[in-house]
Amino acid sequence: MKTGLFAMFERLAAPPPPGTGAWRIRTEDGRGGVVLMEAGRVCWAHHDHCGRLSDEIERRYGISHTAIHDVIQACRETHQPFRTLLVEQGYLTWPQLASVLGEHTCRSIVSAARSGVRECEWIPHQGGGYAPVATISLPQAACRCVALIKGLPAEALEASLETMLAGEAAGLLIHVDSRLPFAASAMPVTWQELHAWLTWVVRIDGLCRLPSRGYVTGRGRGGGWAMWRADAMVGLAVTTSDDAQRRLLLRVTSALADWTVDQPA
Amino acid sequence: MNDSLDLDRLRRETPHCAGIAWFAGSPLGLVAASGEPAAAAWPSWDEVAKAAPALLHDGPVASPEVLLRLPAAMLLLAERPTGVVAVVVELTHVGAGMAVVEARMMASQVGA
Repeated sequence: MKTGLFAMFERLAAPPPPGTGAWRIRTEDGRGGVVLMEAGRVCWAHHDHCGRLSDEIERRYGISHTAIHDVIQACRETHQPFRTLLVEQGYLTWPQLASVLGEHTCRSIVSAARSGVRECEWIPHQGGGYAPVATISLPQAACRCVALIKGLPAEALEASLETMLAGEAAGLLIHVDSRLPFAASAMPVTWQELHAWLTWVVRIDGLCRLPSRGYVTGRGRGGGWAMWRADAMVGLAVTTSDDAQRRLLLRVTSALADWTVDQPA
Repeated sequence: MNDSLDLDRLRRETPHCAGIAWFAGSPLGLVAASGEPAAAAWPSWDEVAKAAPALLHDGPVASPEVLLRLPAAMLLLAERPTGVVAVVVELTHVGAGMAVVEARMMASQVGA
């Protein structure tokens, strides 16, 4: 990559408040792209080198271009968002929409990063915002991009992480040999937390390498953390209440022996 | 105050304890120890001293107590007003839950 993926995300992570608008991107090859954001979360992205979202929807779910064209026409007539209509008219379910949007967004960001980002300009949204459905946090987008580049299924990695987090802890899945994050929790993790937690996990791994299926946990005032390992993949979970910490530890201790997670080659 | 004899006595009284150590100072250094952290992730108490501050203070939530579960041992790190105590309990004859109880009981007698 001419411009590192994480350098690009550093830029994307600092939209002026309230963080709703578009990053207009120009890459070294003269191509354009855009990353739409809603309250600091990623809505959708596109880069000229990346295929169209409609092509991806057709490929994954077999919805014809004619049907998609009809939805677009309806959008223009009713001023409803394209994605909402896709679901309301029964072409996709919300999880299918979230999945295809997420993959298209991450492919576009990777495409822009690979082409080398020359300009990245913030355009505030003039209206009330984009459709906030199916947005993902910047750390989630960054981790999915890493998984995409490494050829691993991003959604399966997130599902593995969530079996431990259960939606009540924030966390990351980190491949300690490559020092890369492969999944971020549904519970929001800030960009600064991603950086700090990744650095800390890699440091701890250097000081005290957990054996596979081992874990380490700490409890502080109002919450705590747990870190566990399966081969070269380390999970980190952070809680903000004593009850959530107790339940987290119970899940880790009972599920770790059978916990499965995809590993990079 | 702890000395190596205190720690030897404590370890003798707890049959599953593989090692106990007391650290103090900045940077954290070994003051006294009985046994070895051999069943744990580290080859020596000096390695424990290097990792302890990062585990106790630098994580996502500062934690006065850290538990490390390994295949054959449970290691407890506990912060005290004047230092850090580390206890290693072997898991060959005792479950993880009981190991934590034993480790906490031992740690409570050091540096309080």
